[in-house]
Formats: sequence, structure tokens, C-alpha cells
Amino acid sequence: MEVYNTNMLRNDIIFRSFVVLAFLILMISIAAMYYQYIVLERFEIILPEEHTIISTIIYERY
Amino acid sequence: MNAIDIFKADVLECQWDPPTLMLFSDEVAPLVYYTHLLPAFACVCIFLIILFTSRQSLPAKVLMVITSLFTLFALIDLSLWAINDAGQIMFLWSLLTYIEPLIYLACLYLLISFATNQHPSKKTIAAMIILYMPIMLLGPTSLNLAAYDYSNCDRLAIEGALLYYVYFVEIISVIWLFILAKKYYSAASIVRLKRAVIYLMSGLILFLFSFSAGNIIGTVMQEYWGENSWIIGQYGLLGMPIFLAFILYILVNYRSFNSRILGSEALMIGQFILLVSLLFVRTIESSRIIALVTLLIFTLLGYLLVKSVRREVKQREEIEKLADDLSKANKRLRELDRAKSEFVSIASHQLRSPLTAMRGYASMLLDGSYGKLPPKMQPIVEHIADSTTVMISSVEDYLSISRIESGNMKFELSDFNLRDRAQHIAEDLRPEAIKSGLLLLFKSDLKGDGVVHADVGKTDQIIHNLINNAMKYTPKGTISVLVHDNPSKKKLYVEIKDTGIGMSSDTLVALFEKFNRADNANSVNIHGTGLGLFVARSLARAMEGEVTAYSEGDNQGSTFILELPMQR
Repeated sequence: MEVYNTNMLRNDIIFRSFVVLAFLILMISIAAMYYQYIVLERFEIILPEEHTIISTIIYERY
Repeated sequence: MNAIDIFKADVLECQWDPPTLMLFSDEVAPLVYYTHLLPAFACVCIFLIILFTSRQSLPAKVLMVITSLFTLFALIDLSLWAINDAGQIMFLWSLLTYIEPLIYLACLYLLISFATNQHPSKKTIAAMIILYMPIMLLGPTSLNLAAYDYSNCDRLAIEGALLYYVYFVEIISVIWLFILAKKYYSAASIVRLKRAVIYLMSGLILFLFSFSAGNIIGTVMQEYWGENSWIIGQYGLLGMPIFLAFILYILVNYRSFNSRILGSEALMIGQFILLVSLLFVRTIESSRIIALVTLLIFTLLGYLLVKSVRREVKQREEIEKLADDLSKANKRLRELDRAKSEFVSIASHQLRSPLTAMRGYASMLLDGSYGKLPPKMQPIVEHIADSTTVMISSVEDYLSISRIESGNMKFELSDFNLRDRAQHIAEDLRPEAIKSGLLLLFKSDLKGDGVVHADVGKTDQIIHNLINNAMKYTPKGTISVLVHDNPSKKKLYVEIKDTGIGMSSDTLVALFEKFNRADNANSVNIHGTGLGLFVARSLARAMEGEVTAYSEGDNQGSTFILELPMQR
């Protein structure tokens, strides 16, 4: 009985750690985007002459 | 000149003003505001309704998360139309990649928590997180947003391959949703829950469809409608708060969910919105006044309609509940009645044995088996013998009733001569009648042989009972027993007619009911239990016969007729 309970407890701890970890990854991921796009303003830019080629193979939202 | 500078110069060339509050800009078409701000506002309202009415419920909490996510989505999407800073656009656009699949997964969470009334299992949550993990890990990379397209004034981000994974997650979520809904539908034992699962599923699917409408219609119909297809897709967002409200309605009201109430309410709200919008669309003043008057009348009538439908449905539900209670009470009463019959049966058996012994010994004392009784004791012992006889007869009646009611009465049907039996009983009782100062006559008027098909013992009991009854209720006069038949109906009759106290028509109606005695019965006979006639009729009916009674009125005498089937 005791073994069973320990197992349950261990599973619970693993599960909770997993959820917390996932949440941390989400936060770090968003923070990374913020840092990259807003603080550093570092991203690729498509120039007018390139656009004509690229737009045929990319997806446009609107 | 680096890329950023080129971009900034380009923005200046486009001559866009920075937006107010990141949302409001002259560059954005009014339609976009309608399709984004209206749903966002409606979602905030739904959020507040849940917060103040049903935040304890787990599915309602999940719905709060969905409304928050959707509001955030709508506002970010709107700001993407309005802002002109490339960095901000890239950041907000990439956030949308995070929010969209989250809404799908949250819908899945909602269905599970609604059907099971608890959080999904750890495995399910872990599976959801694992499914979502690549989005979180790859979100900040160029797989999410490849580049910023500055080549025109559309302010677009170029989406990378991660977008296809997002679509994959969304499709998986919808399939998962269908599978779970089917599972919960089959497992639900209550019809109401089954129905609620279907409604909730429909609400969620419509909600998600509206959500994807921009993408689906925009992609599929682009060939036919061109750029307009994206604009038409925007209307999907308008549907979302409607379906969210529908989902909320089911979550809150599913126990008393009624499509008629919902239908009438939806009709009223829909008409209301239509009329209100007319007020803004119409430019001619007179049309506005007409629309306003119609709106006022409609509001009043609509309110009355919804109220009456609600009341009617409530009444019907109350009636259904009452009927249910009644049938339960009925069942309980039948059980009690059976228990009572069993008790009476057992108690009567216990009483009968000592009573028989008492009567036996009293008779033996009267017969002089133990020597001649002193004259003083003679009337006392006679009294004991009479009382025990009355008591035994009462106990027999109780026993008969309990046997009849429990279905344990056994009948041995055979063919025998009814005239002989009736005559025999009449002769047996004649001395007693003479003792009471009565004249007991026997007559027979038979066309056939007078043979009936019945139980001899039970028939004797009935005739004995009826003649005895006539004697009890006839203080003076004549009792005549007539046996006759009706060959065409294949029936034989024993008619017992007396000149006794008679009965009123009111008494006749309830004469054969259990424990019922004639109003004037106590004036002549104090020993009756009110069971004799009930037993007689029950026995007769069990043998396909009948006992009926007639009387002209009080003091007019009575006639009792036993009817039995002829031999077959």
C-alpha cells in the first residue's frame, strides 16, 4: 500500500514539474520574442524586388 | 543604409500616423473595427457574466479562459491592422501563433471538464502540453515568422513552416473533440446529459469554425472573390461571441436546458439587435422613428413571449415532477397494502386456533360432555360460544381478504347442483331463523338442471354469508331464497330477499367496499366487520360470477343476488 502511495506521489510531482516547466518555457519563449523583435528589432526584411519572388511561395494571413 | 532604416523610411513614405492606444488608426477600415471590437466587447461581457454568476463551476472557469484568450486574440489582431512599427508587428503576430492553438486545446478541455465534471486526466493534460510544446520551442525562431514584408504598405509578417504545425494541432484538436463527444454521448446515462453534450459539441465546433473562417474562406475562396475573401472571412469573428454565449447558456442551464426557451430568447435577442442596428443604419429621420417604435413594441411583446414560454415550460416540468412523485407514492402504497395483508393473514392464523379451541370447549360444556351445567352458568357459556362464533367468522373474513388480495386464494372448480346446495344451507339455517322469529322460505324456479361450474366450498360460503346477512338485518318478517336460471345467458341465480331494514341508494353504492357498513346497520347488528359482502363479491368474481344488491330504500327490505356460470 505504501509503495503504491509513493508511486502516486512521485507521479504527481513529475506531472506538476512538467506543467511548471511547460509554463516556464512558454514565458521564456514569449520573453525571447519580445527581446528579439522589440528590444533588438532583429528580423529579416523582404525588400521590394525580393517580394515578387517570395510572395508566390509564402502564406499570407490577410 | 541598413535594412531597418530602409524600412523606417518606407513607413514614412507610406505616411501612416502612429495609432492611438495601438488600436485606433485612420488607415484601418471601419469594418475591421466592427468585426474585432464588437466580439471582444461581447466576450468581456460574457467573462463578467461568468465571473458574477457561475465562477465556481469548472467548465465555466475554462470558458472564462477561452473568452480571455479570444479577447486577447481579437485585440492583437486588430492592433496588427493599426500599428506601423515593424518590431511590434512581428512580436504581436508571433503571439497569435501561440494563442490560436491554445483556444482549440481549451475547447477540448472544456468538453472534458463539462462531461466528467473534473479536470482532464494527467495523461490528457500531458498530451496537450506535448502537442503544444513545439510551438513554444520554435515560436521565437524564424520557423514561426520568417521575415517582415516591407515592400508595400500592407505591413505583413511572412509566416514560416511552424504555421503548418499549428494547423496540424488545430485539426488534431477537432478530431479529438469529435471522438470524445461521441464517447461521452454513448456513456451518458441521462438523456438530458446526452443532449447537452450534443449542444455543447455543436457550439464548440461552430465557435472554432467561426474562428478559422478568416483562414478557411480566405484561402478557399480567394480564387473567386480575390482580396475580398479575407474581408468576408472577418465576419466569422462576429459569430464567435454568439457561440460562446450559447456555450455559456448550456453550461449554466443544461440541467433545465430547454430548446423552446432558448429558441424564443434567441429570436428575441436577434430581432432586438437587428432593430437596434436599423436605428444606426437608417438615415431618413422618419424611418428611424418607425424603427424606434417597432423596437419598443417588439421589446415589450418579446419580453412577454419569453416570459410565457418560460412559465409554460416550468409548469410542464412541475407537472412531470408531480406525476413522478405520485407514481412513486402509489408504488409505496401498494407495498404497504401488501405488507398489511400479510400481517393480517399471519395475525388471523394465530387468532383462529385458540378461538376454535374456545368454541369447541364451550360447545362441549353446553352439550354436557363435562357434566350438567348449573343453570346460572348455562347462559354465560352460551354467550361465550356465540361470541367465539362471531369472532371466528370475523377472523375468517380477514383471512379471506388477505388471501384474495395476495392472490393466494385457491379455487377448486367443479360442476355441482346449486339448487341442492342452496336448499341445504337454507335448511341448516332455518332453526336459527325460527329462533329469531323469522320465516325462512326456499323456492326453486329452474328451467335447466341447476348445475353450476364453481368451487363448492366458496359457493356455500357466499350463500351462507348472504342468508346470514339477511337474517342479521331483518328484525322480523320473511327471508325467501329463490334459485332460478337464465339458459340463454348460461347463468344461475340465488336470490335472497328479506323484509329487513333495507338501504338507501347512497349506502348501496358503497355497500361492497371493504370495511363499509350500512349507515343503519349498527341499529340491528353490532357484530359486523363490513367485510362479509366484500368477501362474497370477491369470491363470486373469482369464479366468473357476481353478487348484486337491490333495495327500495330504508325499511323496504333488500334483495341480494348471487350469479354463477352454468356448467360448461
